[in-house]
Amino acid sequence: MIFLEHASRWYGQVIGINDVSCAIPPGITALLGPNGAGKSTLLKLVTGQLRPTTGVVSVLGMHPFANPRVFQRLGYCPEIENGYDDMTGREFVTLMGAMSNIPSSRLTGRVSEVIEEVGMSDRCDRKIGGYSKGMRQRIKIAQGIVHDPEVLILDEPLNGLDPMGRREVTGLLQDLAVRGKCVVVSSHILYEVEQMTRNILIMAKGRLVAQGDIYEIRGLIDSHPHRIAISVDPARSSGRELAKRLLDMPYVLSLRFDDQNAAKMEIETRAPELFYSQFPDIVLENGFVVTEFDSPDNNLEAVFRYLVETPNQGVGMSPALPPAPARVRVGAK
Amino acid sequence: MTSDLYLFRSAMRDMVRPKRILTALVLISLPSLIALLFRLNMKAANYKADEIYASLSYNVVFGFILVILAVVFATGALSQEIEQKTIVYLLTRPLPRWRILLAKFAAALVTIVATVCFSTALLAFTTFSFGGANSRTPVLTNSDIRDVTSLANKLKAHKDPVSEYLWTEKISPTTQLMIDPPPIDTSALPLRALGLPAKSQAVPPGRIRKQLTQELNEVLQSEEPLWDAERFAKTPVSATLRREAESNPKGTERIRINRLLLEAAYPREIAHIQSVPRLVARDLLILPVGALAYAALFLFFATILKRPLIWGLVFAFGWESWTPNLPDKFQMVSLMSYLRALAPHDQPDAESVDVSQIFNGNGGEIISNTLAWSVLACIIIAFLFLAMAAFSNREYVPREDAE
Repeated sequence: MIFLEHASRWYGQVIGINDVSCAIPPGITALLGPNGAGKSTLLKLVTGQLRPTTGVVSVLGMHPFANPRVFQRLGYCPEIENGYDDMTGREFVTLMGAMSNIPSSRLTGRVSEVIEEVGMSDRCDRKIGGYSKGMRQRIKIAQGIVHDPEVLILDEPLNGLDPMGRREVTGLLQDLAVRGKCVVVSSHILYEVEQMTRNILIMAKGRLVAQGDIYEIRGLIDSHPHRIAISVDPARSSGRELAKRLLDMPYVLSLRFDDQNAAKMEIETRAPELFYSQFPDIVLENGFVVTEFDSPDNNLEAVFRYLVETPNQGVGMSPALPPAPARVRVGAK
Repeated sequence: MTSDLYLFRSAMRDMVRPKRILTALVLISLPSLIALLFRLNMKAANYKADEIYASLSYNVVFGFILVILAVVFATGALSQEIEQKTIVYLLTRPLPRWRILLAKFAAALVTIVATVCFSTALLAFTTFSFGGANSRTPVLTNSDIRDVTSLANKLKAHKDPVSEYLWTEKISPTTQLMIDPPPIDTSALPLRALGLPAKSQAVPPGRIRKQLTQELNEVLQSEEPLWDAERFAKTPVSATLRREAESNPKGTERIRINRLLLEAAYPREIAHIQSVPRLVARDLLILPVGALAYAALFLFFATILKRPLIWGLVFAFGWESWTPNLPDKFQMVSLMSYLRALAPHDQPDAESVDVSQIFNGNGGEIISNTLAWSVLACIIIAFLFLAMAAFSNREYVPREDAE
């Protein structure tokens, strides 16, 4: 339903997205990437706020820029937080519904319906200015779906929602997907997205670096060496002792001590899941006092870095060994 | 249509926020408060409602309130949404962008027009009510001489008895020289050698207008009656006026009769005494036109500039307040000159002559009514069109450096 063909967008000298080609089918598609990867730029191209500098963007077979015919069938939930603080949630959704050419006879009913869907019925008559971040997200989603669009684009819709809200919104989007709508959700949190869909696009530095099934991508990521940083209390346990035990484990590839702190070490493993399951046993058996345990690789950024730094990496290809980390980093962001 | 109405309504709601209402109220009452101060501090005999009204309408309502409201509301409607990025909600709706812009423009315009018109109405009430209107005198003001060239020509030719009387007995030799400069043997002058036209000798009509206003007013106010059955034999004078003139009244009534006689003698050249409602109605008609023109211009600013408010203010209080004082035709670059041509407000004659008067008397001759109407219409249409075109084609997404 959405096509991009060699689409690029520059802001002056800065590249927003670079030569992106993809096709987004009905169902939920997650757009993943760290901050600054070009996710928002891509969504702004798709929602007709920007024109591509080169290449083609097409939504429902039309150019989206300032095209009312596209907007009649497309809903957009922007990232912005502020705005329309003087209105109540209901007034805001009503205005947006009216602007989407919903006939006035059906408007009131339809607005109540979508407000109910996003779980805001009890709070929709309060001013938006007093809303929490989560409530704003819900009302923003309500205005996006008020005209029952075929394509729904959401920029970081789970931001600011509590776990309950996240589950509700995820459920709502899945319902839409089941009804054959095309839902695109951007996020920088992998695990958020995992619960929602299997179909993902990963962006980094303006490029589309991977697209396809999340488990394939995940597997690809997991088979690359994974670093884990561990610190012990130097007064009560010996770092060297722990290091010895760890190196005895068959799937620990290497281990190095921190330059400044002998009680701090970093290991590299190809089977992080296995390591995580056995590590507590080793600690308990020997009575080590572990003060810190962290994985600099266990976040999306590392995944992106891995994907970006691996040239010609596509889903379904056997993973190549990643280049060695230039520098040992202790502690994840 | 529903969508436009909803959008207009929400834009209107935005306009009537308490803070904005307060600003509007201050602006509405500002000229009246100044007028009230004048009324209270002046002796009744010195109080001239016309002058106070004209001066405040010219300087405060037209020169300040209209312009500042246009800048603030016409740019604010859009730039606030652009700055807060909420414009995306509007731009991703199935409504052509120009209609979004027009709805916003309409709301801003309604607010501006309502505020300036209230302000004028209140000013008129403060100056003319409670006997204020009685202080009006029927003497001529500069703008009462509608066509100075024609009047001067009639006087110069003095073919009819009234002109004959005025030209030979009332018009000073200085003025006569101004109207009818003696031919100069230009061939003898070095100017001729330089190729300069001899026409440069002509006195600007603004000066003549002023001179004639002054001298005709002396005629109106003089003890010697203007009325003479023989003198006005060829002039169509109504029976009532004839009766009144023959009764030879005194004081203000005599001035009024004299003025009516002059009007009868020069129907095309000298304007009728304007009644207060007509005077105010004229302002109430021209102010919306001005609001439309300024708002269209500033709306265009808002669609293409990053800081439309600043540029708008620079334009409004730099350009617009300075260029009307430019000599001759240069003042045609200012929008305000056209508005002032359509709604002239004579300034109380100060003893001192300001710079603009050295260059030229009054804008009246330079910009005719037809020209003013056509230029304003062009400005309104052109800038609205440009604003709609710009808004439909530009991207209103700031680059997010922080992203």
